[in-house]
Amino acid sequence: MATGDTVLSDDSLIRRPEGLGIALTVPWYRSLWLSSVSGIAVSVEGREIPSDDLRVELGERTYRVDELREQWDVLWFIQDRLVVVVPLDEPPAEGQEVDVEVTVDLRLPYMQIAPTTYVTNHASNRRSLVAHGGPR
Amino acid sequence: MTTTLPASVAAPAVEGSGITLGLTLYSLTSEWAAGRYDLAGLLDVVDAAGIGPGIEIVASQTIRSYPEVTDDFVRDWREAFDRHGFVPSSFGCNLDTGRRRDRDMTPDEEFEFTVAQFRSAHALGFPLVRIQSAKPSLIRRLLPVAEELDLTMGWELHAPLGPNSPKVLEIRETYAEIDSPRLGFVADFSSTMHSMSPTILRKLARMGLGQEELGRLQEIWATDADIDARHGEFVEYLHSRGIAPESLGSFARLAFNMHGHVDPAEWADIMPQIVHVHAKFYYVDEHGDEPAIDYPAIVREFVRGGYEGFFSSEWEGHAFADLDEADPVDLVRQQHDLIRRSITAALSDPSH
Repeated sequence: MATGDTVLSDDSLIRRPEGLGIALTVPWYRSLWLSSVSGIAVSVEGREIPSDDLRVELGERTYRVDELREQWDVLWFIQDRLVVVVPLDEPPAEGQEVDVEVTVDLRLPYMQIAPTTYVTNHASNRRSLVAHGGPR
Repeated sequence: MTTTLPASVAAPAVEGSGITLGLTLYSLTSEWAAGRYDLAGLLDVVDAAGIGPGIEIVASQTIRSYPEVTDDFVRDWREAFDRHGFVPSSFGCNLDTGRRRDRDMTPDEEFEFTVAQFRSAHALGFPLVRIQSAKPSLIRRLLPVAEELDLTMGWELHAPLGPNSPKVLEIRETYAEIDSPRLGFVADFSSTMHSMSPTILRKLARMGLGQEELGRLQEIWATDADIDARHGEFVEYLHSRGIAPESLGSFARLAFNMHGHVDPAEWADIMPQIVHVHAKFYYVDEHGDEPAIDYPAIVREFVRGGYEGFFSSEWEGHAFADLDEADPVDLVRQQHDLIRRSITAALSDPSH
């Protein structure tokens, strides 16, 4: 995957007590304000997870997906991972492969086309990855 | 408080020329984003490969506290630069006018956001800032700050535009009115490519385009219509072939956006105003040449025009190639050889 379409990496899946954590890379070449994230969509084993059920963690802070667009003063630094927490009845077992698809839509805040209109980027990855780490 | 680094000076790439070498850390975007290196580690790699001494950054990529810098960051940066003998070349500013969703930045916010980056650039010892907006009112307001911080402002001239595109002609007029030596252009060689890069063609092939579609894409690319018209024509063609343009993500548009085919001779029209160069490239082939960018021809224009400044190597293959598919450090080293060879040839050209 290249700079503009990399969302998942080999170690993206983290076992969590609530289910699954998915660590996302910024699908762009620079850091972006969290307000640049227009949407995040997640499917696990082909089942789409309602956006309201997702929680998004950056460092110590947690957001709902629809709260991200208000975070204009929080920088998603390019070397940091945004962890999307997906609730699952059964967290995956250690070493279990899980099929996940994640789509991130961005609005690029420095590429203005017209007033309040900006170039967008749509990045979607589907991969089967091994979940690691242990739910506490 | 304004303190300046002791000025290290870069030696000419070739004796008798004013061109100096270096790279933008943007060339290592994929490795950086993957967390392979911290900043100190990244600079160590550059030094070990001998691909300095000029170091350029995109601030929003390199600096965690963007648009500001912390005292710790400045201290670590200075220590590393002293250790390696690097020279800060260009600080890439961004203007994030769409940072908020409810409205664009006000003119005051644009000014303040840019000034914060100018101060960061100065603290890190940069003599030059790459700017993305040449709005006359903003430029006029920034000039006294640039004076105070001893910075040159370079508006980046990038594909699909060239030195004589209408938008650039407007900026040239603004520059002529203001008439300050602190205003100039950052010339990006993406403007003057003679063909599409094999790196993007390979990516599009992987995404499902066949030889015929790639052939048609290159034909449309080579015409003189503006990018919206060319992109539109290609999208129409894809439909006629039963291919959904969305299957190519943003790459079909990027092909037109990131590759321009202006004649390299046009750089001569603004040469005295070129204050920095993005020596854009995607690949160096087995003959040591860039398959889509005529380095000997472009370098000849810069040598003839008496350009003095950096050729900051910008490997942008990471926009189309996967992590570890190429080694950007080795490619930059090969491209530096190509630039040196091109300078030597230009200097010995009798028409020089």
